[in-house]
Amino acid sequence: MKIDYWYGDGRKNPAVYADCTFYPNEGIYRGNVYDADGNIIGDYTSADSIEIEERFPGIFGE
Amino acid sequence: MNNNTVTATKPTATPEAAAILAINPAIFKGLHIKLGFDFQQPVTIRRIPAPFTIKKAWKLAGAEHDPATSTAAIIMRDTGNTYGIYCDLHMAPITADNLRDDYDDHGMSYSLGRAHGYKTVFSTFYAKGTFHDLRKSPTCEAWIIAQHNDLLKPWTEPARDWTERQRDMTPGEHPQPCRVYYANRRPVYLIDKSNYRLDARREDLKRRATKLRADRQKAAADAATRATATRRYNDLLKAFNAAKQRIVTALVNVDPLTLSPATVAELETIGKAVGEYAWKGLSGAARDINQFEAATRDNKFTTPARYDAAYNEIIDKLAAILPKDAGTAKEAV
Repeated sequence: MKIDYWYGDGRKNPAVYADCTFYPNEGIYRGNVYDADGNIIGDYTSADSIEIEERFPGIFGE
Repeated sequence: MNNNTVTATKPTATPEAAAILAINPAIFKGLHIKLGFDFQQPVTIRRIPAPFTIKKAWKLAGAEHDPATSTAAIIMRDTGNTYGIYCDLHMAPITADNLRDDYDDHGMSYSLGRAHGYKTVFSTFYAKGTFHDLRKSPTCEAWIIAQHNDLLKPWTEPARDWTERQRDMTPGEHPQPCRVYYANRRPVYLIDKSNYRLDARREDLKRRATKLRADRQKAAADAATRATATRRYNDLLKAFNAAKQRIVTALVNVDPLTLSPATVAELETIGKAVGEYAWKGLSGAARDINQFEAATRDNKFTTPARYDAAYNEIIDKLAAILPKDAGTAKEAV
């Protein structure tokens, strides 16, 4: 899973939660990541939804 | 086919068609795309001497073309300008207002023309109301093209193979297996669903289902282990408290100077049991278990691995403290 922090490496302001969409043309998941204040601070791509869920628990709901 | 018929692939070189072809051959394609003209079928093309009126144009198209049953377009080209103009005259009665309404819709043909790589785009009238200027201009060249509505053929975008698209891509171009054209200046994506990587999605969901199943089984096993451990702990705690109570009772009730051998033996038995249960260790385990349960309740364990580690630690401690056979220990007390 690769998170691209737009304003730094995310150590100061880590991603707390994310949204997720499957992109069928590429066969991967993409989404934006948010900080604790709800601001979008980056995006990510991953081919594995388990990996995404481990990084952002509860992203796919119960 | 009569003299005025052109085909989309090879328009007949009537003077009128040739004149329009001289402006831009793409006009015929544009007419097909925008208005559905079928140039494989008879089409009437007439030159209109300028200045002209719409009524005059229709009249030139011929008596067989009634505004109610035919579709017509006007192509205009002013001297010095190289743009072609066409407009849908299908909506009868033809008035300037009708035309104006149609012009508003011409963004589509404009963008379509551009999307298809035409160098000359079909001018629209949103910039200035030049249709009437042009219509009245003595230097304007104009043609009317008319076809019966029954002969019109709806335009469909030609299908394009994805491999062909890939072949056309320049190196480094992002693979985008969908075609885009602009309708009313909004992009319309024609997605080729055969290129969907649904297999990737399916594989991922399969992995996910396997993991969820394993997690659920592990959780069930953990719960069972935990219930057993808790039950054993409670049994032993009860036995230990009973033993403690018996020691206290014995010490309170017995005169130390008159200890009978039986009492001493009993005290020794109890003491042994107490030693075996390790009061200190048990209370430590009790504290650990309480802490663990509180942490679980408060979601302190951020990962399953941490939960497992804490849980296993408690089980190990308890196993070290508890006698190997709980039943025997209870009887000993």
